[in-house]
Amino acid sequence: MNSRAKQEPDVFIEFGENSVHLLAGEKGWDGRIERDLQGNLSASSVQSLQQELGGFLHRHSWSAPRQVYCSIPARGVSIRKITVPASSGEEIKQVLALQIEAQLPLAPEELAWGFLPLNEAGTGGDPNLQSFLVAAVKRETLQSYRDLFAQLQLEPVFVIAAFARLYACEDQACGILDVGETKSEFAARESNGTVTLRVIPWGRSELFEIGPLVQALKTNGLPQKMLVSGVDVPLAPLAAQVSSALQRSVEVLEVPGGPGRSAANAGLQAQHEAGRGELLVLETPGAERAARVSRDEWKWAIGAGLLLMLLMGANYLGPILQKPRLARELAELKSYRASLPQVERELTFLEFIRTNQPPYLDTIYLLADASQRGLKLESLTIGRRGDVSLRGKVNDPDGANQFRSKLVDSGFFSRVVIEEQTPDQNRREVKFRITAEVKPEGQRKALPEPDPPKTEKPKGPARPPGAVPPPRGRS
Amino acid sequence: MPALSEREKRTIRIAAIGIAIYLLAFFGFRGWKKMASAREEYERLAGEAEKVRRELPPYENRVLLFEKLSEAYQLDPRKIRKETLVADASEAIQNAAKQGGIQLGPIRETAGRSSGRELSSIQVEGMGPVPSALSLLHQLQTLGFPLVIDQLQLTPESPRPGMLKMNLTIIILNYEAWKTGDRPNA
Repeated sequence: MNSRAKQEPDVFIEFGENSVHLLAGEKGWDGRIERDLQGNLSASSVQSLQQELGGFLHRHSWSAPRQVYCSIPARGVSIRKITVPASSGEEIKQVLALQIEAQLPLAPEELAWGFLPLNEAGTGGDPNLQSFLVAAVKRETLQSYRDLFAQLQLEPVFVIAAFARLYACEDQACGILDVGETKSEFAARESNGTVTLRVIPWGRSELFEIGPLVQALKTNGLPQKMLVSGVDVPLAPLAAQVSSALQRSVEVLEVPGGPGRSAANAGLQAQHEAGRGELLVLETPGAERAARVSRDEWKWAIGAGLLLMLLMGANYLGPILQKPRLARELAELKSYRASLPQVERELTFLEFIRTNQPPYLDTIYLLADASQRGLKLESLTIGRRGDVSLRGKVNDPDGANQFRSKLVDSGFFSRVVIEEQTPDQNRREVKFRITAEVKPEGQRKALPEPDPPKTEKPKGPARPPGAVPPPRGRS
Repeated sequence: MPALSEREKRTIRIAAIGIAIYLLAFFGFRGWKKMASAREEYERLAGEAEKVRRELPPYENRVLLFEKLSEAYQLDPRKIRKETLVADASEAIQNAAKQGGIQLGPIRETAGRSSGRELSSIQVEGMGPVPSALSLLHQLQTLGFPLVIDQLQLTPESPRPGMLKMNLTIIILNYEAWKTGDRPNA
């Protein structure tokens, strides 16, 4: 059978003054520990516990139990009853953190703390208020335990052993005295859930003298039901003695026998199995906040990184995304260009025809337009290069000059030269020979617009349109 | 599968980040080079497209100009038959002259010049009224043949006022001697 198919049980570990008790399902283990002057686990204890606990878990093929509950001694634990305005969810933690900061000498970030709601009796029945039982311990107190479990790759849930023992008591209002070697812990729970906790400097090494114990117990109010527990302690005689001294019933807390079965472990197991009340877990909200902040920072960092990558990538993404469209457009342009007829040669040919001969008709028109009355043309020659040569005669001595002036003024000709002017014997006519050049296209003036044709005036009175003309013979 | 502890999850997370960084570095550089080359290709295409776009309007204008000249001269050089060009052109000239009322005189044809661009030269003498002569000058441009009037000589016909004697030297161009890129000599 595959060991991994077993359902790993929760593990309960109680750290006492000088002992450690482990309970996991039906299996258990007890060991000894040493503490330094500050009350923390010594390095040698941590090392030996790692081996022992690791071996225990390995022997039972538990690679990772479902949950590990670690109950710690009451030394250094502060308990407060705090009443705050009614709120819910995360607001409660925030409000309690403020109250803790106000009531305790350390900031919440330096503490490991937890809370339990108290019933309405704690608030005097005011629905706008809520009362909580808050337990806090220095954060560094848990560090040695964290180091131990970190090596075992376990993430424990920390609870207070004195609170855990109370779960072994079925009655709501009861008190449990747990006897240690040199110290004892007394925890009393009231009907409204309020818990008082005392560490009494009396242990089993002083069993012969219970005076200091009784004195310490009498200091605070005692619940109706009192129980006594302890390991390696004669509980029955002790209970009888305390009962006699306090003048009230004191019983022995019944805990099943076997390794690892301390009162705290039994209480936790009962709480899990029977669902007795809520568990007060010591947490480090600062660490959670730091983790949350760290997560938030990571999110911002990842978001910034993605944005940066997007920004840098946008420089390339645009071209990559637009490339297919551009390629299509280029193909269309090339296709369109290829579809256009190849007319370079033909156009050059036609341009040659157009530009390699002067405008003969325009030239003749301008010559006719420039000529005056009495001018007779004898010959006109126009060459392909635009050279014009004409011979004629005019009956005005200044006629040739006037003719030339008009040719020049037309803006169509350049180098207008009267090569010869010869008056006849009677001095009535002047023969002349003029040469000129037609200006190139672009340099010559446009031809003047012809005069509009003259319209003849109608004979007789004007008749309105549609009027019937008079019969013939009448004016 | 057993539930993972926080430490294991952190280990897996760190490993995943490391692998992601490695993959990003390894493929990122190659991807960057690919994207850069794609971008260069895009820019090259964009430049080429711009060049084609710039070339198109002038080319379209040339096509339009060709169509306009072709229509004006009633001439499509691509459809010229070189073998019968001179004969057809000469016949067309004579017909145009006769239809216009020009009495034709001697007509002389000579071979083109050695440059190859002139296929033949036709010298036409005729006589007719001034409007007919001028009309013939106009019609010569729209006969549908590649003709260039090399020289025009007009003299009045003295005994008959209103009549002109005209002497035309017409050159028939050889289209096949034209190469693309030749610039017209004005």
